[in-house]
Amino acid sequence: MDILEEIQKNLIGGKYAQVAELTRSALDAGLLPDTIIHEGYLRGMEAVGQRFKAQEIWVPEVLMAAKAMNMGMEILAPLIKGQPKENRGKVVIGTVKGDVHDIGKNLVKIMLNGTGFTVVDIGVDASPQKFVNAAIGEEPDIIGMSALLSTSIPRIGDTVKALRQAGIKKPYKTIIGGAAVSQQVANDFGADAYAFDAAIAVEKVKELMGKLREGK
Amino acid sequence: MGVLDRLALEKDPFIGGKNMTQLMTPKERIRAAFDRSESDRVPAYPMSCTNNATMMGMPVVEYSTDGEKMAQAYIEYYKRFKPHLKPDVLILFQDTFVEAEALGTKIKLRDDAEPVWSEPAIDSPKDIEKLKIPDPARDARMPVMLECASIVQREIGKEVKIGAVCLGPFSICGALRGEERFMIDLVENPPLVHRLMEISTEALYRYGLALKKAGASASVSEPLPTIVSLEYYDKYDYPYLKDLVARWEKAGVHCFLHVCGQSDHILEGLARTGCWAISVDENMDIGEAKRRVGDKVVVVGNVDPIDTMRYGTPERIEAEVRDCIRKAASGSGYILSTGCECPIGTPFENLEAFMEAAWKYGTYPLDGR
Repeated sequence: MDILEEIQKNLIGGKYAQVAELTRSALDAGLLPDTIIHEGYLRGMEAVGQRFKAQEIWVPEVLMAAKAMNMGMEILAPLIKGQPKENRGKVVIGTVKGDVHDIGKNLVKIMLNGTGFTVVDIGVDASPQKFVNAAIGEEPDIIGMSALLSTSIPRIGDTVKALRQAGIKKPYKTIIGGAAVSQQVANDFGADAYAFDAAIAVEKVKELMGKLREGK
Repeated sequence: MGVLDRLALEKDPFIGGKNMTQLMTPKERIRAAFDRSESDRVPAYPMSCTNNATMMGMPVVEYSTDGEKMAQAYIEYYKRFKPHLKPDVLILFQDTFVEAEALGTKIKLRDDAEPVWSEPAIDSPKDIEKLKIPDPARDARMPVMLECASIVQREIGKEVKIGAVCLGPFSICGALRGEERFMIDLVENPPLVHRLMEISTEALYRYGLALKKAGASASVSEPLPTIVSLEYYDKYDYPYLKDLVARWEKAGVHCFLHVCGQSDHILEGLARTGCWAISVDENMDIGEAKRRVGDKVVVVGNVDPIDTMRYGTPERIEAEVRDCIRKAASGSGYILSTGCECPIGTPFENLEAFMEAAWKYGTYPLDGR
């Protein structure tokens, strides 16, 4: 098995120490950081996403895979510093004001990172203003709002409204997720998409990116 | 004259051809569900909890921290229903942090919404040495629930069955550690997990005994195992739940399990614990739940509390109640309820519509209405 396949396998298995070691070996063998990231980590995370979607693995396994990828990225980060970052799109994500649940949001972040998106996480209990500031500062393609508590539902509306009123120039799409929300909530508050879980979130984000490219 | 026409006449005490004094009591209805015999009507109740406080303009922080106020909210709620539409069960519930808070987790109370989690009780594994099993009569907000249960039992306990929510041990561990860290503990630190589960289970055991003494049945809410594999559930949650159920039985405490979230892969695993009933949320098909575990447990649920109860019309509520009854009520062993707590803002007319629909479609014998 070649070293990239070994990295994939160990990443999927959450074996972070092995991923770190294999990353160093790969560099010693002359592989480029970009290759290791794309053919090693991202391939591995793609498999993780698919298995999670198929309910073959669950949240602990996804978190361990993310830990493995992060350890590898720590080693590679200084080597790719300064290089233009190729990415599939930029996503700002946060849990709305009054809500501090973040496992779902963090899973979405992991999966999107693992698919090659750049994710800016504005954290939990994020006010509409915080979302607006991030939208203006980061110029994302997608803005994601997470809400577990039913009392957070009106905040989704507040945030979508605040974003609209902020007159952001760069076209963006909004997506919502979390136990409290549903397609109904997305329709009622004018969010562009709703995702039931992190696996579906990745698919929806890809769809939304497609729409943005087509100017829809 | 049909049942619904009769219901429309407030003064008319006849329901389903029976004089109201001849109707079964809520406890008799629930007993029938467990005996698998047919009562007069499928036992039914919507879960309305913190919503009861905000419906009467009570700040949530008062409801969450004062047993008398909390009891007042439930009694007002119960009194508000027309006599023939009263729910069979009241579910007493503040929030999911009562046990963890008593064990040392920090939370932030809020005026207009449930508290939020703030700091873990167990930041580093060695913090576990500091944990003490809470005394339900004294620690944190356990006394609030107990006082509420006592008052409600005293005032209306003869008329209605009282259940009190307590958090399951696996979920308590998540609140003690921080959920994400606990997920990683499952992989990296099994001894810590087992120690935390022992402590959480013991805390819950004692709380359940105190609830029974105060007049409330333990309704164990255990959402966290829905995000782990069946393998992890079997290893880290099931043995403790099974043990808890058995110990409680000896003390006369019957365990009801409520599982929010994707309970599909652990449904049989939950039924194996020996609990009396499993309440599922709207992610599961209630007919399928009955087919799969209806021989072992009474199945409870599962009208959508948000899209249907909070934001829906009475027509939508009626349709979903009818759907649930058609799927699960045949052969008894079923209690109609909502998939989870109806959130703050759920209109009272929706809660009454739920009970009206229960009468319209849920009188035994069911005749394919």
